[in-house]
Amino acid sequence: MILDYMEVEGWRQFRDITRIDFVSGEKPLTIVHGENSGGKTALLNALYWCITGDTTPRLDRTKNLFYHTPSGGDSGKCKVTLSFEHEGVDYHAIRTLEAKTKGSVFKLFAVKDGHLKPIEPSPELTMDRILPKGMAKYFFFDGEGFHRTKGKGNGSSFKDSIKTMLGFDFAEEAIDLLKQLRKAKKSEIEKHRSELMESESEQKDYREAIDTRDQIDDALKKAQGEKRQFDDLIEQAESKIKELDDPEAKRAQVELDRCKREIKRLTGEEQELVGQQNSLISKHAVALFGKKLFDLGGEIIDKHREVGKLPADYSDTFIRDLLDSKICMCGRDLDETHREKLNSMISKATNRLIDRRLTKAHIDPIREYEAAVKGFQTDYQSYLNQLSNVRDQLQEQLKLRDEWKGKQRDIDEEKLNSLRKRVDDAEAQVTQLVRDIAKYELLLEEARNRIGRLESGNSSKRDEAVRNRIEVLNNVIAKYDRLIIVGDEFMKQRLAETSMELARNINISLAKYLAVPHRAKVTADYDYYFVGADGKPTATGGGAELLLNLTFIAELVRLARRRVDSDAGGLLVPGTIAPLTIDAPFGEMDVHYQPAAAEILLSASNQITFLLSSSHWRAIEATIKGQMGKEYVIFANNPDKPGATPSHPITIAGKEHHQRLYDGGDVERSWLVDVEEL
Amino acid sequence: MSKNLEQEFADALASLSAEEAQKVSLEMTAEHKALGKIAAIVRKNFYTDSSRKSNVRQQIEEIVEGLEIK
Repeated sequence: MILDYMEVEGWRQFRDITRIDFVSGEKPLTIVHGENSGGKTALLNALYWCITGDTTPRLDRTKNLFYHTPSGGDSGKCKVTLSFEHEGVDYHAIRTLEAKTKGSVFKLFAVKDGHLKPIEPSPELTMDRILPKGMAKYFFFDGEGFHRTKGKGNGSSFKDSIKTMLGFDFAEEAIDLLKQLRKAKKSEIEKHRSELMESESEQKDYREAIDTRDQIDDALKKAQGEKRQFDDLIEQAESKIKELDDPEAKRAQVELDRCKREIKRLTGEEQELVGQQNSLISKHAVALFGKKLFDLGGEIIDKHREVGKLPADYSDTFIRDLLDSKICMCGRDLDETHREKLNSMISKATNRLIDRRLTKAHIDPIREYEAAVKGFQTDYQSYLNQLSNVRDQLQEQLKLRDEWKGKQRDIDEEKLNSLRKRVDDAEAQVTQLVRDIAKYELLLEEARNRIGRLESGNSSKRDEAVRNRIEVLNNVIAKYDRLIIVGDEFMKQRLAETSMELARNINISLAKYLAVPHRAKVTADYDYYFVGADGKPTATGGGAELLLNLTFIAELVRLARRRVDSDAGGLLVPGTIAPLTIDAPFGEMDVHYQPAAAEILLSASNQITFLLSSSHWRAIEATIKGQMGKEYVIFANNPDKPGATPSHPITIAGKEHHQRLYDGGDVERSWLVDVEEL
Repeated sequence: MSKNLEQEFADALASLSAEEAQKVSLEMTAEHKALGKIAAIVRKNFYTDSSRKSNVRQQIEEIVEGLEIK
């Protein structure tokens, strides 16, 4: 669908006929500048209303679409004309509303040979087929309000619209038609077969055989369908298990448990060695103590060897007595000259005596103790070595434990077990169903053989042409069956792939601009949101959500267009694609995201219209300038403040224009001016 | 954004398109082609009234009957 032009009259702020020409192709962008309450939303709604008969959620006073006069009355009539091209045909859509009639009147014309040919009797239905009402809101919307279309309560319609846009509706209708045609062929076969049965009993037997075959066939199809469902369930659950059952985290848990066990064992070993060490010390306590004591005793003895002589007074008295007697104990004569000699001899004698006595006391026990202590020291060193070894191992395990703790991630074992149980249950069901299917296939074969026998039993009486026709029909039905199976599988596969493809394309587009490290996720139901590194939904700020909304729409359009351009979808022929027309597209989005959003939208669409306030214009002007084919400004007059200075300036092509005027002589109204005429 | 990164994204997009085209061409069996033709007929007649639907059925029947299943 390509828009040509739109005319509004008596519509909201626009009293007079107001026309917008839309551009497309190399410069696909039409810009309408307007300040708040100037009429941007009114123009968006004119387009939306003409196509659907509804207004967007954010339009105020939706019941009053007429132009309002200053006295409080209204024009009593409004009209929107839209000219567009679709599938090579030019159309004119005209929707009018009059106060005196109930509801709007819609007319649709196709242009043929330069003449307008009315489309009757259902112009609304045809318009809805060109652009379904449910889809229009995804092409004509206001930026801030877009989240409402995908939000709560809109899930189903959002998904349906996406399916329509991407061509799934046509594919589903094609498969439905194939099923209807197959049914008709089967009925035809039954009719021919009945003709072949001449006798009533033959016909009865034959009908029973057919009924039996159909019942078995139904049971077989049901079992096959259930098996497919369980297979899907198993696949989904296993995929989830794979997602949850992180091998690295699991290994961390196993290693952590092993470390804990090892730490416990080594701690026990350490305590045991310390206990044995203490026992050893207790066992050799006397020897150790004795050795220590005698070591100290030895020191005392050594000390006293030097001073262990007879007291000098006694020596001197003894020597004097000997000298006085002048004869020694050995009989030799003595005189004063022998004094020194006597002194020396006495000293030697006493020392030897003391030394002998003390040394004897010293040596005997200490030898025993020394032997015991030597044995103790060997054992004690062995314990010390073992303890050191155990403590080294313990330190190593404690270090490992801390490392694995860092890699540990909580695994939802309960959920995992629940999923595993579901898989087990489903697999048990599948096993049973496989048995049932084999049984039904066998029964079906028997039933078919019986039908064949009943048919061939009367072959002589039957018309050859009818039997040939039945054979042809059976061959055709086999083709229908094949196409339906392939079509159903294709649809299922493509539906699943499309959401993944969208997510991938969105992330490629966003990666260029996004200031936060998030990724977009698109579910199988086409719900979408940002997720963090852990895969869980996460909140963002700065208008990133709005950027995601706009990127989603842009990538959806791009995907649909790719199917149009390349016919790559096969069964998925292109769905409807309308031009994007967006009022206040960037809402409260951060200024640095606005050029990104504009670039993404422009890259996806071959016709696009932005209705912009001056603040949005300033942010994206440089980005979009090269793609702008048409530019308008909405001027508004407010007669309530006559003579007030014109306000709301906007600079276009270096020239400043005031969008709000205060001309007391005129009425309150808005009008549109092509920038080229300024 | 650096030039290298820009080139990286451009390459990624190009490889995606090539990958998709290759995947589709591999998957396009005779059945897929027939289904594509049928869907195109359905789409072409989507905007017309029901009086032309019988014509649609006839066209589909012709496509199915002409299909060679291996």
